[in-house]
Amino acid sequence: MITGYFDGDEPFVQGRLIIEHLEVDDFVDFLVDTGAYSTVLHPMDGMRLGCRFDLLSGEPETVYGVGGSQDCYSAEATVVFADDDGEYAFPLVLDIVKPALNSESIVNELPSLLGRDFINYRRLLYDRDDDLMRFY
Amino acid sequence: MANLAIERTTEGRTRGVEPIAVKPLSDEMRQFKKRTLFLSARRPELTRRYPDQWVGIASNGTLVAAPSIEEVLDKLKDKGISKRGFAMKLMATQPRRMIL
Repeated sequence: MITGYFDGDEPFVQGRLIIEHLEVDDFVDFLVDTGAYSTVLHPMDGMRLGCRFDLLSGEPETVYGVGGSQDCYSAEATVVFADDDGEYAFPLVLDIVKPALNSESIVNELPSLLGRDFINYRRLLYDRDDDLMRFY
Repeated sequence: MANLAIERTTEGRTRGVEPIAVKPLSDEMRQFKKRTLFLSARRPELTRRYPDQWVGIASNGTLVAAPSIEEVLDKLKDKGISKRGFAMKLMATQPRRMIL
């Protein structure tokens, strides 16, 4: 069981993100987002983690949201989640968004997302009233 | 049919549904969660003290606040504090309504 938490009304789960070739190995607060096709590392966390954005290669894929579109780069990554018993590592293909050149862009303030590439394969208990958010 | 739809939409994204490794819970992970929950629980107070600033707590317990993420990271660097395990949140006086 992986236990998340609510920050206000936003559901988060924490994990350790490892992207070897981008020199990332640190902790991330992921917003649980069933509307997200994939798990996404947004610039706010990427900058904090010291992600080597300059090493991202290949053509970015354009992905769409309510507010418009953004370019994402794919990278093989591992997310390690913790429960009461230990740590569990899940390999996935992560989408990475580079920081916007305009430092005041909202893109740079977005939380990283835990998307359906993880959520679809787990059972999720979501109960804001009782402050419960758990993956089984 | 529903399962087929799931396979198509996430095809190629998930390299493994089951965890590949299990090990004891690290103290580092536990401490990061503790710092994050502190920021969340103290949000009203921190928002009053640092309105519309990014506020974070380093692994050594130092609290850092600045108007932008870049400035927070610069402060950490200036103080010689490691970014590893740094928990950070925006203390917005008027939180943006987001539909992601």
